[in-house]
Amino acid sequence: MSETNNAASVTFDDVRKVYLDDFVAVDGFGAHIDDGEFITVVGPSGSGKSTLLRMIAGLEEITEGDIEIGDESIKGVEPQDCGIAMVFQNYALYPHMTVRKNMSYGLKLTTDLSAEEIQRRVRETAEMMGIEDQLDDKPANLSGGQQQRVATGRAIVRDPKIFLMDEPLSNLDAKLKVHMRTELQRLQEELGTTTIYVTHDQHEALTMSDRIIVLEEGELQQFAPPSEVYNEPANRFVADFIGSPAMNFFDVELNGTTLVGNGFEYDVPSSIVDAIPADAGLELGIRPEDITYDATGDNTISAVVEVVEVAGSDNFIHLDIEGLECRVRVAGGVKPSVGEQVNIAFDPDDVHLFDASGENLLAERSDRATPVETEEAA
Amino acid sequence: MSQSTQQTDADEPGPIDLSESATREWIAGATFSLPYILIAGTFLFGPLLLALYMSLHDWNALNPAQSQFIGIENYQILLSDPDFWNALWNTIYFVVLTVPPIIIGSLLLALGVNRDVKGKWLLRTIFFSPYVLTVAVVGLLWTEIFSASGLVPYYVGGGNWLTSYDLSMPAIAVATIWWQLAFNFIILLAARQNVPDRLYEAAKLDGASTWRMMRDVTIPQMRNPLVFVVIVTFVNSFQVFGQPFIMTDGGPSFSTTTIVLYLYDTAFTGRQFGYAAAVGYVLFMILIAISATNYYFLAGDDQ
Repeated sequence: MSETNNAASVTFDDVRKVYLDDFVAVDGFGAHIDDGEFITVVGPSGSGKSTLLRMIAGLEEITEGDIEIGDESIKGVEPQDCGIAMVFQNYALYPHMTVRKNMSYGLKLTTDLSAEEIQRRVRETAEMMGIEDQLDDKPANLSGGQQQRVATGRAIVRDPKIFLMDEPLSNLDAKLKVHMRTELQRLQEELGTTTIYVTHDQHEALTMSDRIIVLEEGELQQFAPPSEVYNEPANRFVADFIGSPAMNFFDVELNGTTLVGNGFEYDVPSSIVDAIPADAGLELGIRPEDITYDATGDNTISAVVEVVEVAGSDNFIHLDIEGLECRVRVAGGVKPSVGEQVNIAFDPDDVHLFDASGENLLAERSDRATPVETEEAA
Repeated sequence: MSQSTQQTDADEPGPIDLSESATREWIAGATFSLPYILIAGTFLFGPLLLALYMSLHDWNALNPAQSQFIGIENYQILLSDPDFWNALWNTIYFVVLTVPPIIIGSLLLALGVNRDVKGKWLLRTIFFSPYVLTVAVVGLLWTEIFSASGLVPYYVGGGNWLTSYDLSMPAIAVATIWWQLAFNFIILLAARQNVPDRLYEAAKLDGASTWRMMRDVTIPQMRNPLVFVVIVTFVNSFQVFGQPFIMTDGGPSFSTTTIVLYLYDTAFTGRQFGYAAAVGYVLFMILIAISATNYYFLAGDDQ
């Protein structure tokens, strides 16, 4: 279907976006997305992820810096001439047009294809999306899932160089969301079109993308494959944002080869000690799934069970370590009583250490496990 | 106690009496409808039937009991009455002069004010303010403006427009457009503001020009309010009375005698109430036909 998908790379060169009220939405953003990659952009609300996408789409002006598609700047180029198609969060289907017209509208305006050719492409795409029976319906008569397919089909039929997707699944129920997630991945693999996908859902980011862009307050925090973002978060923000339940953090001090926290001590190997600069204010991070519950032997930490959350296949246990809260992920069969005294332990390889500025001191180590699938736990 | 009895009154155990609940629902429905039925019956359907009854009689206003039934004679007279036809053509002329400018003008104003212009609220207030004036004030104001010493003859010429056979109706039309534009403007502005921005963003990415966005997004999205505005403007213009009554009293030489003005003169000056009722009924039929035609052509397939 695609003969125009050449050099559909996207380069951000020190991009900055300031709104009229002096609000800086994106600041100093630089990144290069390769042709055919599936990139997700994640971050909390207001982190600038949608602004970034809208700048590529030409819906927002770039205040400073530049965005290039292939080798060409998008500045001053009309959106339809950049080879871009976008799927909006609320689909933005034209309510007064049938599905067929919704899908053919862009082709009609931007190409000199014959009416028959346009209809053929609309029909093909509709069949690919499984909405061929809805072509003569209006959007209001479609279910949420069908509307989503029409919105995606409308983008696909344009045969764009780049797909932009702004939280396209956020209006669907949980089950349909998982289904459409798989379907979008399949489509992207089939079409090989560069895709930039904005979401606030970290599960979507971890499961769908080749690489993840993590944004916070308009600044790039990390741009790496999902496993790296999960296992080697660049800083405390990424560590906290990615993963559900969130990583546990404890203020600690290094005393010889022992990390001393409020109410616990933890011995670390010299490889970790060597990575810690002198007089650094330290924070220890450990993921709930990396903690061994009810451990024995040396280097364990004593805690009291406070809350047991039953979540089906897994349970989440909230522990109290001398006033500090610690979450542990355990198998579904483990259901301790509240108030029970337990020992926990974790592997030094799973430990993350952040300095006072939040930077991950151990990020360059490469002996990490693959990410744990944190399925719909949040 | 069976499950169904748990839902009934504790004093009257037993299965729910469906006919009783249906009756209760009917009473509730009737009670809620009653105010409308009373008001519409008294002020709408009653007069409508009475007017039909009157139009079929040689009506004696002082002693209605002595009115004579004459069948459709009033309607037959009406068809060959040159004064009626003159009034009808005058009214159609007035409709042609006022309806397109009011609709197009209010749409353009609404779309213009919707843009990010400075002092938007001030423009909104200025454009809406004429609508709060009564027809008497509007009539007197524009009588001054069009009088021999008024602003329009001074700048445009033409002497006193209101005593000119050719200019009197355009003068009334100008006053009406100025007065009535505001109401449509507010409705269309609200309609335009209800069109979601995301549709324009999607259209922009689809490569739509400003004109295409207007044609393919704005107008279809504003269709229902536009249909309303078109119908109401047609009806208002066909029923015009106050402006010619105050500004020209139908003159000069009956050049501004509209149907309602003719009806008024026939009834209250000529004392021909039966005949006036027939004129009113013909106007009523014309308005029904025009409203239905507008609705049929403008409202689209999803109405």
